[in-house]
Amino acid sequence: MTTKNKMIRSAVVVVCLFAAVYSCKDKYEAPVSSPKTGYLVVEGVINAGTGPTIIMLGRSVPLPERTQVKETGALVQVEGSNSSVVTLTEVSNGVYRHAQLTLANGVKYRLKIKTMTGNEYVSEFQDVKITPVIDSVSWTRDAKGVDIFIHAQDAQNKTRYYKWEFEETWQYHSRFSTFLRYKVTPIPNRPPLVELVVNDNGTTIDTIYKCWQGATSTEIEIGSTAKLSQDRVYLPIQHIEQASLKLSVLYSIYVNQTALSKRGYEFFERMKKNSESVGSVFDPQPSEIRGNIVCTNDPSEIVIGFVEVSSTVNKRVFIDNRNLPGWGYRQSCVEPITILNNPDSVLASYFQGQLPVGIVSTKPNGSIDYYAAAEGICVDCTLRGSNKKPPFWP
Amino acid sequence: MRYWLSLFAIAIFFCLSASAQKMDSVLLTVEFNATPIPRALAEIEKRSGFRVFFDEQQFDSTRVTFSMTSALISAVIAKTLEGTDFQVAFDHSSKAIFVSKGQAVKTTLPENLFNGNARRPETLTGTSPRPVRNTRQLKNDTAATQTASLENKLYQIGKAGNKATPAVTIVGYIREAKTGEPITGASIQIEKLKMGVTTDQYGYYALTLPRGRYVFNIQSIGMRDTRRQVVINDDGAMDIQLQTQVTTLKNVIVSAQKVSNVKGTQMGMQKIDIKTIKQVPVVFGEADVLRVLLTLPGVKTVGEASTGLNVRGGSTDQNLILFNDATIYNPSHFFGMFSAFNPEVVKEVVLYKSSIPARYGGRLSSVVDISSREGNKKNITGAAGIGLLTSRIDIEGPIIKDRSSFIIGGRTTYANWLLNLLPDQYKDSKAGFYDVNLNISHEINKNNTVYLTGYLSKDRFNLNSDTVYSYGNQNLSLKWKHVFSNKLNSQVTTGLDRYYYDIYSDRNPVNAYKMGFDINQTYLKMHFNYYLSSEHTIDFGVNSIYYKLHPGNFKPLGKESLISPDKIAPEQALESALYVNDRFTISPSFSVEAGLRYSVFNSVGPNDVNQYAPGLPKTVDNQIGVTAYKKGQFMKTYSGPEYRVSVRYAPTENFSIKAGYNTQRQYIHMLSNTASIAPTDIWKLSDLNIKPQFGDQVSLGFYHNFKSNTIETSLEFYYKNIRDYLDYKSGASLVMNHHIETDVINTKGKAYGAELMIKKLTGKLNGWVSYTWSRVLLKMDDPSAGELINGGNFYPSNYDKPHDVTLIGNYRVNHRFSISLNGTYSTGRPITLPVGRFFYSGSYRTLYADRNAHRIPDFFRMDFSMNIEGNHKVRQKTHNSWTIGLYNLTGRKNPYSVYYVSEGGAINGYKLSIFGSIIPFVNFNIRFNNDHKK
Repeated sequence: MTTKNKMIRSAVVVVCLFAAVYSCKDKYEAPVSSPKTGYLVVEGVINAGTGPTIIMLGRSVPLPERTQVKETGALVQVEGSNSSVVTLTEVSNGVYRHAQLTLANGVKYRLKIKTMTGNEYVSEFQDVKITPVIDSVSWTRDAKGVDIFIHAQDAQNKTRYYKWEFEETWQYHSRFSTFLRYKVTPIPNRPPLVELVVNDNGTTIDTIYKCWQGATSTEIEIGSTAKLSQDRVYLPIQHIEQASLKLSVLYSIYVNQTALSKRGYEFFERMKKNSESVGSVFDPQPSEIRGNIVCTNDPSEIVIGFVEVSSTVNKRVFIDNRNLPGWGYRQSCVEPITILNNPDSVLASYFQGQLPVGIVSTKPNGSIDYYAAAEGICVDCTLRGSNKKPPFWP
Repeated sequence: MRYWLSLFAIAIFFCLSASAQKMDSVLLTVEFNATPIPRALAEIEKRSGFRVFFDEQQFDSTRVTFSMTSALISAVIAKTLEGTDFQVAFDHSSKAIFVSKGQAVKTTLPENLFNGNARRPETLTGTSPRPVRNTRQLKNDTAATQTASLENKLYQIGKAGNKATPAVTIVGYIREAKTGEPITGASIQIEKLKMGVTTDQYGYYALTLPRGRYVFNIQSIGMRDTRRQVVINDDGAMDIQLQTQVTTLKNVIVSAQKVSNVKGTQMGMQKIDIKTIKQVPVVFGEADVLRVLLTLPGVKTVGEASTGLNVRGGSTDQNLILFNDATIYNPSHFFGMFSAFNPEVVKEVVLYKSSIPARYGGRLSSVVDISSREGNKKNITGAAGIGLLTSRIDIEGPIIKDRSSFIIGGRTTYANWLLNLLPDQYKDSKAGFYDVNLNISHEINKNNTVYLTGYLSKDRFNLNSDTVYSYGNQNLSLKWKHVFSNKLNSQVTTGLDRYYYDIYSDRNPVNAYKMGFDINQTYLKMHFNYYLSSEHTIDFGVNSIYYKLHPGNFKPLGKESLISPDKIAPEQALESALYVNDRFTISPSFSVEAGLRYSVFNSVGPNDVNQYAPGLPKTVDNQIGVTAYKKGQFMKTYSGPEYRVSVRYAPTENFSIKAGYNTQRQYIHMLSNTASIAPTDIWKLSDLNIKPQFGDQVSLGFYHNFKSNTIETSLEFYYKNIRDYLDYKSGASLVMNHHIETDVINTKGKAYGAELMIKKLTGKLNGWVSYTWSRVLLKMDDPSAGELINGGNFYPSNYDKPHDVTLIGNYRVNHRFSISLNGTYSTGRPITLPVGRFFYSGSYRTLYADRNAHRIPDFFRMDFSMNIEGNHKVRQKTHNSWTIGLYNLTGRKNPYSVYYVSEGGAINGYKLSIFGSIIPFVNFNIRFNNDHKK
């Protein structure tokens, strides 16, 4: 939220300005020879509130590599300045967890890691920070879409630095609902038998009509109220483009808020500048990232990460498409085509990945003569999401 | 000294008398094949050693073809002029031959020139010269300075017979005949003495030389070469008027001694006049003063969207950019696409990158001295230009005819249409700028002239109606030029400079804010030129700047805003300097220029200064207290001498070697962690915690001119050290920082290189080619300053581009049509690229290690433009011209930067170019003149 930050973001836009006119931004991979890095990456918060403490350990890799290297088999402990020690258990590769820590008042805590190679790493002792609750998550709408804001405050003006993560979930529908389906009977060594059948009682097949997708935040969302007279947060955390699928039916965002120390904030701000706010004409030079973790055997070794001791609070809100008149999402689909209901045509339609969407005409005997079919993706929502309703969904 | 002078005078006398006896014994062998008569005469002059005087304008295109062997000079001349109505007269004592039309020159030689009884020579024009009085009587009689406008007339300076001193001083102004504007940098060469001077920015010159008869060869770029015949008897004044070259359709270019880099003591100096600037094609077609500087060797920039100059390895804040003595802190408009100077008002630009005269100081790398034109003193005239993005207009004219004039120029932009081409989401974006120039000059009398300069610029842009940025320069200066005597004159300048920027954002009512930054400086400069003798020209003076900086003022905007006001205490300082400089001509081939500047910087209270534990890194944790200083209290004083020395040795007419050493101190610093100048970069004065920067440079140059000085070549080498250059720490925050000293570090730098330049400024084909090889390396190895950058080793700076080749070419097809082509190639600039990746906060992210360890791909660009002039009839009301061109002719997508960004969880690499295609441009210019009689 510093002016510099804003400046940089806008400067990116300036460049896009010229990019739009003169198309000046191209994908490019510099022929960089990456040295072996393999630095330890530590992510996670020592949770001072209710809930589990999860620490993820990984390794940095050379730039061209696409793999995510996990650090397994390490001994991960939370150590108090009163010499208390709690050990986390590795629940999956590189993920270390403790169901519920009990931290004492007036005690500082740190993370201690011993890797399988015998190197020992410690974070700096941190005071326990209590995160204020999220007052509300609101949204506004304009021509460009919906902006989601977070509201929080600390009456004692002590928190000042915040970090958020969020999970989005949204329900969406297929373009075409249907009460028809292809009944497929496999026949060994021959093409399957595909028949056009009407769903039970002629009702819409909801399992391929209503689905859910989800995403987690991939950007570092941080905010500071250090320049404000009150510790009151009112910041946008997400923008949803007009006509986006996300808000086509019902959308939910689950926001997670963690209080940061000033140094922790600066660490994430720098990481954000390095990895997200780049590419402008007025580029701040990327810089090395050092967190609050050192290797005790070799203090010059680079360790990436900042471990806070803080509680985490969260809030979920829903946004209904009914409150967004004229949202305008429409899955782009070819209009359904008419197919004669005979075995060959049905089989051909099936092999083309089509699905039936409706009856065009019936024979005098009531059986289907011609029917309409569309591309599968426009009929079966499970091709791009899950039809399992999340437990929190209304 | 006097002894040498006398000896010199005696030597000349001997030469003259000796030649008188040999006069008729000179035999010539010549061969002319369709040679124009003037060239034939020039050839005779060259071979015989006789001076042949003639007016080339009087000759038509007649050519001669003949050959003679061992013929008497008189016979050769007679043969050359056969069939014409030209007459010849011989001047036996001064080895001169006068060729005149119709009537022969009756020239009686001033044989007794040196014993004081010279008769007044008769002149070619028949009009007898105005009686000339001794200038010592002239002082209060301003009307008596003679104006020499004729080539064939013999002008007399001073009364004959006065021989109290062996050397006399002649001064005057060189002006443009039609407009009365002074001509800067015009050269007066006296071949006989192998000496010359150039006029200063007011067109003023002063020459100290032995009494005698001389031919002044006067030249200036864009003006017709001319000469004046002068008999100098005593101190005196003579103004000279020159004719513009452009208006002459039938001119003959006589190449002679151009103001050559061989002659001057200055090295690493480049002067470019506006005509040359206008020939160079630039993006959007608007002549750009600073972009042309980028084509000179040793001048670089990080990329195309930046007019920030990096001169010989200096950073962008190490250039003193002066516009008529006013300091311009941000010389760019519109994201760096345009420079802040209106080309219609600019007269010329001088860049000093090596031997910086002692009168300038306060910046390490260079001085860019931009001077504006003075208004036309005779008629109201004007010009206007229309381009794709900008329009400009200027009006000039006399306030009191021949004595005072004004010029007012303005520029504005209408770039919003460009922004409207953007996708809808940027539809509310706006960007614009304007600038206004005003210059008034008034000649109170011959000895007193005052100049008033005003400059105003403002840029404002907002993108997507989110945050609005604006910045601007505001300058006002008043200069008084006073001539005490022929030997001493002074310029006193006072003025105010201001640079500011504002940012505001009101989209989010809770966080709506406004932030402001400004620099204000008030200055007084007193400069004196003292023409002590023909060997010594002394400049001295004193200048003083009072700075007041408001480093940041952060305020809430609107009622709902919760922003708590924050203000960084203003900074004050006084920078003063005393200097003296002597141009010492030891012999015609050997001269020395030595200057000493002593600068003093006082950081002035009131202010609360953070104290840090000595010997420990300056970090917030190591702060031990705050010291409060009272108003007006000197908190810290830095001072030191700056040396400016250069030596020239010219073994021949066409070749010289120069060497120089100079040191500089800089007390104001721009803090930036961006590669190019950003509108939000802040400036910081030195104080208790921030030391001044110091730089020194040794340079060596070789200069050789070919083909009668029409082709200039130079090869310069330099090595430069920089101390206490301010670099930023990793992740530094520079805006609204109350302890900025904790985010910057002092670095050392070294820069070295070689610059080769070949230049041809006359003829149909003109232009230059330059090649630079240079390195700029920085080093931060002081462990007490906290982190080491790149392990304390040398690392290349952002603008370290080892190879750089530039070609500027212009071909004048005819007087109305010319084409220009420029090309530039340079090594890609260093850049910090990621070495690895890791997963954090839901996304892959980049891992950076050493700064500037990689380079972006090399840069290459060619531009083309055509200048089409309307007809050249002098008597019409308007003259118009078109500039049409193509920028980035090859359409190459030159990378400005290469970066890796995390998008939606993955890392994507991009190459960003400012211009990704050929950009066509067109500009229409019109000049109008309400004077029909001329």
